[in-house]
Amino acid sequence: MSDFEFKDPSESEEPQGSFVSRIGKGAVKDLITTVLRWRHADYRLLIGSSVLFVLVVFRIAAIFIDVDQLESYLDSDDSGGFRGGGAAKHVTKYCRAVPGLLLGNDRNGYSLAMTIVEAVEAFFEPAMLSCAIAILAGTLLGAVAGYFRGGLLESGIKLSLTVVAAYPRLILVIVAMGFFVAYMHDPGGAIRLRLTMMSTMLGVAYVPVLALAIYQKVGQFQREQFIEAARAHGLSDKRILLYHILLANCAPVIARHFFYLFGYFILVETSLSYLGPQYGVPGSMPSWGNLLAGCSKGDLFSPAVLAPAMAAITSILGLTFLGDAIGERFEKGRT
Amino acid sequence: MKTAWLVGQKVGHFLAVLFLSSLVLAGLLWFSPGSPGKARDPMNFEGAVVDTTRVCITRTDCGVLRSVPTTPPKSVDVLFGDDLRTFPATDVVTQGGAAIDYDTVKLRQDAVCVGDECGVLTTYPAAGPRTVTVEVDGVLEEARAMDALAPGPGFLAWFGGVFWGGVFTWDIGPAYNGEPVLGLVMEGAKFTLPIVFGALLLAVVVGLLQVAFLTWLPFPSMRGVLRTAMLGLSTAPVFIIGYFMTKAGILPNPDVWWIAPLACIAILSLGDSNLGELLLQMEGEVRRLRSRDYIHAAGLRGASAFKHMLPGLVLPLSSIGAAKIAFLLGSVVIAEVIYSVPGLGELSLKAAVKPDPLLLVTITVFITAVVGLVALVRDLLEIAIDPRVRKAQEGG
Repeated sequence: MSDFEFKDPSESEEPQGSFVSRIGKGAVKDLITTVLRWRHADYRLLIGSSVLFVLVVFRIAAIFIDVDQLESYLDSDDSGGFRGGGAAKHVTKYCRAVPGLLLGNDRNGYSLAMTIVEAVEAFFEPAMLSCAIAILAGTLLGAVAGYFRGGLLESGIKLSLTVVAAYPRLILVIVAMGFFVAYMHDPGGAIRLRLTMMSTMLGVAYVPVLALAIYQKVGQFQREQFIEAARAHGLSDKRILLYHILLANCAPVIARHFFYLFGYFILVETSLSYLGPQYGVPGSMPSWGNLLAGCSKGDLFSPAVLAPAMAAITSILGLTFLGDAIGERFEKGRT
Repeated sequence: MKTAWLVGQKVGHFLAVLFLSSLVLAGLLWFSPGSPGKARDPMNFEGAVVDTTRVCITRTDCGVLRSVPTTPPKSVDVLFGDDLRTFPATDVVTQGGAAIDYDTVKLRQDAVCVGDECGVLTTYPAAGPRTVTVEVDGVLEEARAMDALAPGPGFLAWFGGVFWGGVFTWDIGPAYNGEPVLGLVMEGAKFTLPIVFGALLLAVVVGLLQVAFLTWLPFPSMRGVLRTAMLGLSTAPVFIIGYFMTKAGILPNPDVWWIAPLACIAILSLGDSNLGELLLQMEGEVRRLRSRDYIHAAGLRGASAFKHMLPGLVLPLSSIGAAKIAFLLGSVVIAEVIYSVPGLGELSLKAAVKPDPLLLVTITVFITAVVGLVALVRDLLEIAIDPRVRKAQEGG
């Protein structure tokens, strides 16, 4: 019998157990293999993806949550009465653990868990806008400067990027607030304008970082054989730059910086909201920053303090991990 | 000579970046509601020339003056027994029928007449609103003279004369609280700059110690765990670290002035990923240096690898530090507010809320100058240390 001849399983010399035992054996083997593989798994990718998934779920859930309509759990001494749309079940003080409420209540007596979910609204879309601005402008400027090297165009773009990079990002946001928002009749109420201004300024301030990364990438690819081959085939500069360099090879760089900037936006938004309603989002809108500030008189290790803080830290860390992992995993072998 | 040219280029680049960054800011300010180019001072009509002088009827609507201010008839109140009535001042005469001298006439004493009736004056002639006519975009508009505003300066006049001229003469103008802007900025810088440079120094020293520890660590698998733990800790925003520090009892104390700046240095060096990023970058640099042949050779000869690596670390460290300064100057805002340090960060937030655009622009340009100056020092250090830079210049 040759080595490759078909063998009837019934003729096999291996002991034949029951179906269940065979499944069990395979499952255990698979489990062991999986666990062993996990040793080599990129934990940053796992953590980052999980955080991103949770943020997206929170954002979708926030559509259906209106904290003002929730039951309020305030002591009558604190509030002068109950608030909110529903009837009060418990009487307790603010920023405290409440029986039946996950994480207790917040500074206004509302469910902290719900408020933390709704607070994702404060940064999700503005962060996306910020990323869109940075990606559009940064990719365009970096690609043009990197591809058309040695000319006035490159020098001009590099000088303008150096000028923008000289401004500290947070200072630029504060400048925009002072120039545009503070003159409004009701600066505290201009939530949309304030967040749009924050997004625009952070996006613009991040342009030099992304443009420099794209500039270096494009410079590296220009010496590659496939680019020379594309030129030899008579492809236009626009096509080579757009399809062969940016779309086919620079997507991981852009994705990496997208997650970095997303995380950085959370950092800035929560920081400014912590400082006060006149700097970040107004008090009427929940943010992880103002949730923490609102419970500043609470116990150090109470959920009201730890939950918003951990939410901010975990999100920023997860998004940074995700950016790092994408950069390391997908940018390798492309240079 | 070539080196001098190289240094000149770097200094020129620094000045160009500083000028352009202030120009961009001024441009941004010019299109904002608080633009200094908008009319805000009352108009003084002395010396105003019809058809020539520009006048604004609102902060943004300006035009050419078409008529000088005119005064409508003034009015006075005259009491006839118990009956108080108002008349134009020119209709009131003395009992002899002569015009009244309102500078000498006494209220409720001297008799005055209107037509056949006589009484006493109870008021002097009320000052009526003077009006002016201004042509705005081809349309004649009438406005009260007291509401008319003098046009603001042009962009170049403000940017070149008021702002940069003020910087050179050390008098830009008053801030929101009446104090000179430059004085306030310099006072704030006395707190902010030591905090920022102190935080950078602390982060570099702690980062280097961590790199040395991770390199020495005999269990390679532990390196990743420790590195990740440090990164996780460092990712905490400055405000959260500051919050926990204040809750832990590290609070600003008026009797011990250095607690607040030191706390700022500590949270700045650790938070906002500052320490984590420095650790990763420095570890990368050390790893790169350790793979160099001359370090291997030094190790084989029994010499200290660290001692040989140190000169090679100066330039990368200065580059990392120069890049970090801009970030730290942003984060310092949060730290200063938490610890009530009257530095540039706290001042910029006050200027943004008041709002005081001139102070905000001055602070930002100052910070940009510091960032540019640090980059310039780093470039000059590179020229001094790295012979390849000089040779590249000499080679054209």
